[in-house]
Amino acid sequence: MKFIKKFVFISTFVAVFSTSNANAQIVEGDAAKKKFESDKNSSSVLYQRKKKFYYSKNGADEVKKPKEITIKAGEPLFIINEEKKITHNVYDETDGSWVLKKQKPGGTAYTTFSKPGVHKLRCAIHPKMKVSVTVVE
Amino acid sequence: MIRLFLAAIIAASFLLQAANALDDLSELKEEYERPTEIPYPDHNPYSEAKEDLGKTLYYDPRLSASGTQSCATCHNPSLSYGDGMALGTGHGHKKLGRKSPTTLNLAWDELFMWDGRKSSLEDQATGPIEAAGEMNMSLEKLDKIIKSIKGYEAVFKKAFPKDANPVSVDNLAKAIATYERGIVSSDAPFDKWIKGDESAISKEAKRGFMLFNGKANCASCHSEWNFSDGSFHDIGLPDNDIGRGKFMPNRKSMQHAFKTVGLRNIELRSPYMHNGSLKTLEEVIEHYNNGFVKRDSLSDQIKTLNLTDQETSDLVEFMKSLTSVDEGVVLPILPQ
Repeated sequence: MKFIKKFVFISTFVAVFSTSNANAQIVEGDAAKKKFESDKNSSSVLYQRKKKFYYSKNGADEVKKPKEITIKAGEPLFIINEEKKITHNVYDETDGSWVLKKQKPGGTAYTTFSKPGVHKLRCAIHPKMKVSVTVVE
Repeated sequence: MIRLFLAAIIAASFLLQAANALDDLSELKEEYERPTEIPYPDHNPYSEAKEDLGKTLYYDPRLSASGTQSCATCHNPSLSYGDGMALGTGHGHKKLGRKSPTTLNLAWDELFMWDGRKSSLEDQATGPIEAAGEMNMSLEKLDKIIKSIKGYEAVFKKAFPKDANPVSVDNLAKAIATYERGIVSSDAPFDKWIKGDESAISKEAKRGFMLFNGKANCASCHSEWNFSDGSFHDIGLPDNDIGRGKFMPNRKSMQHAFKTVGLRNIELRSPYMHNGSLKTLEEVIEHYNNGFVKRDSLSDQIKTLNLTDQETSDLVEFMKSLTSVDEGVVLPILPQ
């Protein structure tokens, strides 16, 4: 009984903080922050700073304003707001299939694409912030 | 001896603070330096012939169904490339729903029109031409019109020398976009100050600049050399126009959101906002100060500012320092 209650609680918690569609799963908030803390040196990360994207892979040096990045299917792509005062609102412009909740400074989310393809991510508020994500096997 | 030592420490501390403040100001000023060149896209590179053709088309009223409206009717260089009215006027002299935006300094923008529905200047160029409420000319008819004016053949050929059939709506759009990219305001007193001339702007304007980047929070959206980062925000104007929300219905942040305008020569473009509802720069500041509607979609950048009358006045003085004195435009002779 305890196990069933725990299972229901965890499922609800994950459901509240994640959205998914056929091709991408989104996790936002504390669950995303926790995963970032454990995986940051082995992950692909898009930082949002000074209204620009900065990209880092596996903890390597950041690339400012990348036009295109490549990640593997099933690999999480973290999207983190490191601004001091600016809110961002990233979405998948390719098919409009997902949009993050507004990210205030400190906001953390990650998206995982399940299939190869190309996704154009953009900030709805700051459309100059955009990057093409190529998902490979 | 100890007193001397303490005095020296205090003096050094003040000097260090002053030096840091100067460094900070220097770094801040760098963010507003003018670009050294105009960006033209690879798919529509610049040529003088193309720009000349674009200018001719921009001023040609034969591109409208009534034969009386050109791009310049609503985007008039004499009115800072706007039309000086609260709302634009279209076909049949009917009022439109929004103010005519300026075509000044657009080469650096990403999305166009108040609601950002056009993704390039090329895409935007034919929008008002074919809009029934604006120039009311179908693109099919437009194609026939420009082909029927024999004088355009040579001008299109010069602008698009590699095209077998250069007279086309597609090339018309490319030419107008090329001309518009070249519509750039010249140096304002503010730019002279950025370059180091301390006498270029008043001390009130300098205080206004610091408020703009600090307490008044204007720079959170009105940043970069043209004083716009091209972003879209609901700034709490009290009307029913949902702006970009029409095209992004599932994004709360885009409801009632409109494009951030550039502030170069803003003094010359009253009245203000997408609906022309605010007549003066003072009214604009009062709106941001505490005159906005609070709703779910309101931008996180909009907060009560508690500005004093002096601070409002300083901000206005600063915005006036962004006004350049530009050369007049020589009108083209239209081909027959």
